[in-house]
Amino acid sequence: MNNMTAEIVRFKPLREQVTEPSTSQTNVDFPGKENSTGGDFDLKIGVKQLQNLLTQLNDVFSESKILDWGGNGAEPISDAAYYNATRLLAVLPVGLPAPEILPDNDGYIEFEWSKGDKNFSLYITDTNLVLFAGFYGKEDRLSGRFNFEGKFPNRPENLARDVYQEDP
Amino acid sequence: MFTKKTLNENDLCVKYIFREKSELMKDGKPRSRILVPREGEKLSLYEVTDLIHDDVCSHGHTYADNKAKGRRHIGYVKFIHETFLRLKLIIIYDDKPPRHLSVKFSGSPEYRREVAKALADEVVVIDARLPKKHFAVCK
Repeated sequence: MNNMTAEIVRFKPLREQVTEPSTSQTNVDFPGKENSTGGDFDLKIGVKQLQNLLTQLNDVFSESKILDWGGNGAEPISDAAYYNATRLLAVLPVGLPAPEILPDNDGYIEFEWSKGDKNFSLYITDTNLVLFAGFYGKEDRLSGRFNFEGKFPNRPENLARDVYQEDP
Repeated sequence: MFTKKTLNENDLCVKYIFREKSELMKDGKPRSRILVPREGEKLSLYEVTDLIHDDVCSHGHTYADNKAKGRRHIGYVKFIHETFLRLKLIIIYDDKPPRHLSVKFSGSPEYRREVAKALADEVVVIDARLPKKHFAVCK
C-alpha cells in the first residue's frame, strides 16, 4: 500500500512545466480569451478558487517566516517549497474540493483534505518530491511519495476524493 | 532528580495545546501536524494519570509554558498509553521536566505523518456534551 518510489528529485522551472502538453480539461476562461485551452498555461481550477488558495498559501508562508512560528523550533517554509506549492495548486484536478493549506514542522507545506474522521494530506517539499499520508479509519491508513512533474498524479487524486466517499 | 518510571497500559498522558484554531479540529481532536516531531526530535507529552484537571493545567503552566516567549497553554488533549503501544511508538519517561515523556517516531517522513494521523484519532473523549469533546480547557 505504501511507497510510490521517488527517483531523481529534480527542480523544474515553471516555464518548462507549463509548456507540457496536457490532456486534461480546462474550466477557466481568462479575460480576453474565448477559451483558455491552448493559452499560455493550463489551469485546472477556477481563478477565484486559485486566488483563495494562494491567499491561504501566502499567509502560511508569511507565518512560517516568524522565528520559531510553531513554538517548537519548527522550520520556516523555503522559497522553493512555496514555489512548488503554487505549481501544484495550478494543476489541482477539476471537482476536487479545495484543500486546507497548513505549515508543517519540517518546513513542508501541507495540503489537507478532511471530512469527519477521514483525511488525506500532501506535503510539498523544496524539491519535486511530494509526500502523502491518509487516514480513513483505524485499520485503513497509508502513506507514500511521488515526484511532481507538472501533472497531478491519479493515485493522490483518488485518495483525496476517497475522503469524501460515504461509508457503505 | 531523574526518576525512571514505567507506564502501564491505562496510564494517561496529555499534549498541551497553545492555539485552538491552528492546533485543533472542530471536534477538539488535535491536528496531526502538531503530533509529528521535527526530523530527529521527539514528541513531548506529560504523564497525568493521577492528576485532576486543575492539577494538569497547573503542571502545564509550570513546566510546558514558556513565559519568555509569551507561550501559555490554553488546554490539553489526552491519550491512553495503550494507544502508543498499539501504534508501535516508543515512549521514554525521561521525567525532565517532571512527568515529561518523549515519544519517538521512526520510519520515513511520510510514515511518521501517517502514524500521527492515527494517533490524533485516538485522543480520549473528555466531555461528550461539548462541541470540542476531546479538548479540556485550562484557565
